Amino acid sequence: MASPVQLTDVSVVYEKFPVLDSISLWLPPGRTTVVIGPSGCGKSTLLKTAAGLVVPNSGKVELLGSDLARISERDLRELRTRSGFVFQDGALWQNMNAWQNLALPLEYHNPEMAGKEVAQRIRSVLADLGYTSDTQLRPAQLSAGEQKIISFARALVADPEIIFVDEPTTSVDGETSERMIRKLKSMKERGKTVIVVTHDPEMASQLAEYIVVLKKGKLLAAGPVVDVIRSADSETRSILSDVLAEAATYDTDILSLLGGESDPFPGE
Amino acid sequence: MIERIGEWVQTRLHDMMYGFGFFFLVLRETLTFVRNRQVGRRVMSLQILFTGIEAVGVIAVMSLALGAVIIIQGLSLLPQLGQSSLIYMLLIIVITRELGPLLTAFVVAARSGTAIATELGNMVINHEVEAYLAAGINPLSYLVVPRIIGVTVSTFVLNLYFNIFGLLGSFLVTQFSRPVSFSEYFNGVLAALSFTDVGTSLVKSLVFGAIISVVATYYGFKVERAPTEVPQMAIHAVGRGVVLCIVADAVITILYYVR
Repeated sequence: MASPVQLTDVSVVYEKFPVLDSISLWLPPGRTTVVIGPSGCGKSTLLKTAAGLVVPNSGKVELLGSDLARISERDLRELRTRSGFVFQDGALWQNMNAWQNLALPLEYHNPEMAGKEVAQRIRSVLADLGYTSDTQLRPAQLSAGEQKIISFARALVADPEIIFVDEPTTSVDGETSERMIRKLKSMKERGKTVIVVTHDPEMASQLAEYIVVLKKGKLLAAGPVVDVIRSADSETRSILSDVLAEAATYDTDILSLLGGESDPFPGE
Repeated sequence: MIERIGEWVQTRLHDMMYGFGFFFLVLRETLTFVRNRQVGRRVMSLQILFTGIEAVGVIAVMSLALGAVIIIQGLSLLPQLGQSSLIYMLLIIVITRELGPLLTAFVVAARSGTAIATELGNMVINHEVEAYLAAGINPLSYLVVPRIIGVTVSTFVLNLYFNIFGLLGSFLVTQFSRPVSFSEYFNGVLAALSFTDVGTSLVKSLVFGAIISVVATYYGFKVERAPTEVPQMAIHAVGRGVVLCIVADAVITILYYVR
């Protein structure tokens, strides 16, 4: 089966500083990939490059089978309706209220969609994520956690085939974090591809089937979790434990991710 | 030294190519706006509300005052030269041909040019533009084109208001110094007004509106990372927009009146 995301020798340079250095990567379809690495190693840039939001300085990016450098504008727009992106800072449209943030992608791409269906879809996603605040509030009136939920919901509302998620559980409470994890798991069960950048050991240990390890813009390891852990060199192993330990309070989760006592593929 | 000059030339060339590319894409998206999705029209309506309707008060005060000043200056100067009949011509030249479109453009640039550049710049910083891209919404067709059309239409309409209020202002002042009837005054104005005057005034306002909005959106998107870039780009948007309007004013005036 073709990979939904394939990067070939991709490099990204910001103002003469290399952020990604000759990354070649193949991600499995219908699986959850977790990208980890120390802060500033290029995880978010990798995610944005894979989603076509950052144009690489060199190399080839293929998303859902299309070469992003050669795709027509119309096809690219169609492609984007099949993918969702959750930004680290939410990136909600500040001049719209929460409801409008969720409705716009649907209204823009489906002008024929009845208002009732738009409302139904939005309510369904918000219920799944346990959002109970007023949807008429502007992003500036919402807490950071609520903004994150709306951002997450905005990426899900069009039911994408592939979703890119950048640090989804930052600023959210434990219960919301669990709901997000459940939602991502249910997406995976429906055959969707999920790619997550996270420092959250709970999320990483529950979701990771495939893992990508970055350091200073270079790819250290990529593959099924068990394979990476078993074959990892000391540097990769150190990042796997160090990075997660930095943000973690649950050593048991790190152990489970590192193939310790727990099953690294929970639920399978 | 040579390396620096090379870098400077390279940067300028890059900026120029980016500018041409931006203008080309905006033009293409503008031409297809009519058959585009309805949601963009909501943005356009809001822009017309902000630029065209909320600025009516400022335009009215400015044009009433300007009309009053012109008539006072004209009535004190022209009789001394034995050319009192030229007062209507003076009003048309100053208000309709030149200052109407230009001052309207200045007001629009000061209010909407800065607002657009600032808003778009902040959107870039907050990753909102990336979020539009991620959602498959073309920022040019959704954010830029509706604003350009909204500002252009608004500048056109505000110029009409400017002319009406300006001529009204001068009429009101004449009532204090040399009262004339309403019909006599407006017959004089209409007699001095030519089709070319109306045409150039309207063409100028359309061109100025397009210039201000394209320049403002261009500089809004020139913001890259830091919030400190936003006010810098807003200043560029207004400064360069106004300069380009004055240059365009000269070009249009030459094209129409120098034959």
